[in-house]
Amino acid sequence: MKQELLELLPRLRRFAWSLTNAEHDADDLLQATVERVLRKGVPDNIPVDRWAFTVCRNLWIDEYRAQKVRKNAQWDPTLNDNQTVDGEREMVSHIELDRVNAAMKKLPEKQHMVLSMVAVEGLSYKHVATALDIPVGTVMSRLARARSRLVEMLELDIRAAKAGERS
Amino acid sequence: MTNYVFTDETLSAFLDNELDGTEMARVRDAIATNMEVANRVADLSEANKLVIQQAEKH
Repeated sequence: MKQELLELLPRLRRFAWSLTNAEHDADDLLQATVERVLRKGVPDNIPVDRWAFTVCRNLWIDEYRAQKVRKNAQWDPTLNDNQTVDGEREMVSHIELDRVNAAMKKLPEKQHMVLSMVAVEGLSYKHVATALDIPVGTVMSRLARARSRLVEMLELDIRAAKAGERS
Repeated sequence: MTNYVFTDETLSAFLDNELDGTEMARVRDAIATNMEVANRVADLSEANKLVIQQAEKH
């Protein structure tokens, strides 16, 4: 397996590069991927290259999320002395966000994944397409279906809302 | 041009700034002149905003 992994390095490195867009981060990601694959091994029924790419992608997503959380924490008014209140966020009740969470969970996993990567993690369509190994057009259609489904489930239709109690 | 019907795919990609320049401009024009398009963009954008807010809470 080591030999196979070694031969895979150039491709894996390009993949890591496409995900991170930064040489330093790509090297870190590549190293973490190789370490993980060597330490945990490869499942019997999965080709080494496929597995390595999956590990690489997952590590990157985890790291990206962690960075995002760290960045958000800096701006979270509850975590520092900044008393500024985000008015818009205040208006959205906990109940409503729980509804959003429940609706998200009802989305097909593939749509959920793409929506999270683009809306929450702020990744470009090209990044997502590369990371998930799907065409950009598929990224587009999954996003559109996910958002349109959420509009339906959360009853966000603006004309209905105007007539209703939402303000 | 104002009657041009946009798909959810196009409007959703507009929200992400992922259309090419011409297409971005075309949607912007339509939002200004076509209530149907403006409403739909607002709906999709609201859904997107809630997803982001929900994620930030966790």
